[in-house]
Amino acid sequence: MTRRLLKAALAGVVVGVSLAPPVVHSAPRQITVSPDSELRFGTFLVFGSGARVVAPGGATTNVSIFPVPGDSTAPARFTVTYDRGNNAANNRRPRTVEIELVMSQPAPVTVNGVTGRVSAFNTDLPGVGRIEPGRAFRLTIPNCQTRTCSASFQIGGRIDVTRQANGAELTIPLMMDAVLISDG
Amino acid sequence: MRRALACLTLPVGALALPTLALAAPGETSTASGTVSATVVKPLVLEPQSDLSFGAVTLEARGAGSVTVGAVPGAISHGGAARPICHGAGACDPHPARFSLRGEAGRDYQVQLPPTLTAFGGKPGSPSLQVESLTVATDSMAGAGPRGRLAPDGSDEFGIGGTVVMPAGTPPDTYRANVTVLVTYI
Repeated sequence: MTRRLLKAALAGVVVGVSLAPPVVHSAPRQITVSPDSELRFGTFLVFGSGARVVAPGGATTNVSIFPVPGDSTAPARFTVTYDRGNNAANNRRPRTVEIELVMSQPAPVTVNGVTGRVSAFNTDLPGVGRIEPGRAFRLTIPNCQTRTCSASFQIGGRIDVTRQANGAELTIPLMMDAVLISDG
Repeated sequence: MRRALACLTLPVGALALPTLALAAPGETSTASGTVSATVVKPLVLEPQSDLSFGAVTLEARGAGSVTVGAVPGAISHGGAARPICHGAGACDPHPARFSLRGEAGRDYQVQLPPTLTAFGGKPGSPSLQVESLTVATDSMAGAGPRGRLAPDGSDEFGIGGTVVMPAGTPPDTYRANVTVLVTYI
């Protein structure tokens, strides 16, 4: 009697489990571009006007710019992450992911009588070199075998500074758009 | 015909980015990075007064020296040197004074040569050695050549030193130029 009850109970459990609908959240493929570090032109003084160039590799060139202690420069760094999602069609075969990026032209900024204009962008992405704001350039992530893959790249540029009288801290937004082109 | 004309008038920017408009949700992303630069006001140095060792006489066959401290009032005569100016005026010894303007709150450092050579104005006069040049800033008393610019971006500092006069130094007016280098630190 006890065994029969147990069997019935187990059957109930089995039935109960089999009747519960599987909870599967569908995650479509997506990409994310994130800024890892800013394009830092450092701390310097300038008489009237001058320019500083920070290369994607970090090298710095000064034109009528005088570094002051504490000066530290760095290229911007962005990371693009591709997530293939969990759809059944998205199997685990290696993929080559193509992503198109577009950087906006930063507007000149004037603070406290100091004007900064950023231009002449370059990147360390293979085959890209110079970046024209508003024009697409391409990033390729080859042989992506996992659900998420990412690639990082650096951007350098040139800032032209005109100073009237005072000093200033300049902060200029750098917008980057990314779109997935293919992941075949 | 109307349709073809519409295509031809598309702005160039839109033609460059055809894929952004066609992408599915999740297949685009936007990030906002930052460009930064800190522009510092240059230092402006203005001399207020020269370093003067005053009017001095040497006792017979003696050598001597005059030391002027970087802070006003610290004067001493050594060896055979004796001051001969006992009143106010151009013959009184005093340190050099400089005023400085720059970026508020920033530290700076004054650099001086270790020695100077002062030359007399008369033909045949020897040169005199000026040594032990010292600096005292108003903002950092006792910190030597280091100073900090006030909230209005200003500070002042003094420069002193010691002039050495060998025995037999002829009467003359001896002058030296000193290069003062001030930098942010």
